Amino acid sequence: MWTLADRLLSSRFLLGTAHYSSLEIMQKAIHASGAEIVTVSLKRQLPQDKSGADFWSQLQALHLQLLPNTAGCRRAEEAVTLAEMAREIFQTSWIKLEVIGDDYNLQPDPFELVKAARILVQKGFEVFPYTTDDFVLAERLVDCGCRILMPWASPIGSGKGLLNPYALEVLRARLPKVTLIIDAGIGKPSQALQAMELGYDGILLNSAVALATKPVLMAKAFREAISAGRAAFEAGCMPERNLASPSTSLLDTPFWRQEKQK
Amino acid sequence: MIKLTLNQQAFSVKEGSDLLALLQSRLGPELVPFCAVAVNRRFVPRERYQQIILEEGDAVDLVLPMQGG
Repeated sequence: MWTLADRLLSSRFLLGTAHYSSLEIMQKAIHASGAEIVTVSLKRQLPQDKSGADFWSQLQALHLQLLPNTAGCRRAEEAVTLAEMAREIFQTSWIKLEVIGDDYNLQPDPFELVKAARILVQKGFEVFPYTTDDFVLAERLVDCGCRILMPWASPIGSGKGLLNPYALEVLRARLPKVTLIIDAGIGKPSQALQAMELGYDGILLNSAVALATKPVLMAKAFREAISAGRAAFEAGCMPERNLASPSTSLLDTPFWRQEKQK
Repeated sequence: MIKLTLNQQAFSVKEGSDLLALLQSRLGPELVPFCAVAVNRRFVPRERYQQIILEEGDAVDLVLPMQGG
């Protein structure tokens, strides 16, 4: 069990609800993942399109904690307004804060992100900022009152995994009291496991499951990988070393000769 | 009649119309509880819908839940 924003959870897997081929597959994937938190969004609804209401009804039936996002926002003011709208609809003060600075790699605009985070914390939101792996930006967000950060592994939907493990290790080491959840860029369970072995508190992903050939099976695979990675972190991995060190003691084994090293 | 925009589309309503009436006419009363609204980029809480009298040039943004990552 672990605590995320005052909520006790058993799963460290947060799952998105987008890109599934059907709502039925989405529901089955969420169930297979064991996720207790799912991300949602808001869109401008045209009067003749009632698909949003269908999705909302299905989601409510799952009784999960919702984490709305501010996708599509480029300025702090837009993100703040959308967050307030999300709070009213989804009845939660949790908000995944996305303020995008570039349309190609969807990386956050760090200046607008900090500005929005400060305002939203003051308005009583629990802010989950989607950020980069930049340590100084992370510190600024923590200074604003964010107790959770969501650094990217690589661009959203890219599936490239941890492009800068060193930077992510730095964040973990330098911010031991901050909840760190990898968000964006995870494509394979091994990548999620790698992040968890670094000591990250959780993984948020969407495309890696929704766009898999078999999303429900992939959700299960990620569930197991995230669990394994956490167990490995808690168990403490052996240190890496450059020289070989035999697992079997070679002294007195047949044919072993202690040769002088060249 | 006054002209405004609803989700960036041109729209006309009777002068003196309130926001709740607009939403009920465009969405239907059953969907109003599922939506959230901003007028001129400012969030309007649900309890104030009837108090907001729409004016010429207002920009109304109406959102509903959708899937997201």
